[in-house]
Amino acid sequence: MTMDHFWIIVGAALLVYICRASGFVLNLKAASPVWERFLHFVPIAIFSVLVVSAMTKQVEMLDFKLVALAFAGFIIWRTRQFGLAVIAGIGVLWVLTAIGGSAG
Amino acid sequence: MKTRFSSFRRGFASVLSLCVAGAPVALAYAAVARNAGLNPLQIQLMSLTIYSAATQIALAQLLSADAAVWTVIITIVVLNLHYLLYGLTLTKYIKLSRFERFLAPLLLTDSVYAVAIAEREHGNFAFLLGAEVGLFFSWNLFTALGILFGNGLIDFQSAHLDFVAPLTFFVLLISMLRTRLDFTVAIFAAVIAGLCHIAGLGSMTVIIVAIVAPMLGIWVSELQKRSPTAS
Repeated sequence: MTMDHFWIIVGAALLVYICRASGFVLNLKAASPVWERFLHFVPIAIFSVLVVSAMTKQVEMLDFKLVALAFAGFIIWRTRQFGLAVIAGIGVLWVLTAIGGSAG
Repeated sequence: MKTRFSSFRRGFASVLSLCVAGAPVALAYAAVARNAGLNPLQIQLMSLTIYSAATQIALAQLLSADAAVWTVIITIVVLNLHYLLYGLTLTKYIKLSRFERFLAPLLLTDSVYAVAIAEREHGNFAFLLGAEVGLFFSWNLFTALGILFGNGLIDFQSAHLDFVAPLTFFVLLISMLRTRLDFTVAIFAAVIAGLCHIAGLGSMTVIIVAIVAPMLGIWVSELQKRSPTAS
């Protein structure tokens, strides 16, 4: 490893840390109700982006995956059991893939 | 002390499915970095210090292309700008001391944010740290395995283990939706994210959606308040 590469990696790590720490260090306590509501919606928006971004990279067998997501969504909605919902979702995908594979 | 340890353990356990989901990404990163000409020491050093999949993959390619320093800096900032909002929302829900405010962001990732914010009612620093340590350990373990064995270690594709990440995020999303307005914001966000994807906006999508969708949510709630049928 050249020293140049070493320092670029260390510098990049420092820059990433500054980005990560910025929101923790900024002390925005004097928040208005609108700001409070804004922050309430941010995680919901970010989760939606994470789901959509991940799904756009997984277009293969999209119909099966959407069914699995819907089933997992139903399970978490009814039971509030996180682990159960994830296992149910992946289980549905495996079953659908197996049925689809044997039918094809 | 015991409560702190049990919170840490709870945080650690909450990311186990995401550790599995992150494994193919770590293996893919090791393969991309090797193809870009990085040596094993550089590949592992990036996982230990930068610890961000998108940044590491981008940096590996920029290093192999001998990119200018300014290009590297701008790329890193654009890829990590969304952490500003993560920190702002996490500190709103989780009480952190001054020291913890500097330590918590060290190993913060999308997945850690997801589980911490989903557990915000019972979340604390120990929980956050447990989740961070779990994912950091698995990311570095799978980077090392990727360096040693290449991508042929586990057939993630046929087991559909890459689907665990969107599935986990979706389940966490549904568990957060309490009101009709929350649903509306989630749908807004998904539509905007889809449009950003079509427009090829890449990592800027997170920051755009994280600003625009909540603003739409606030606008709709204001409309509901003004509506004569509003209760």
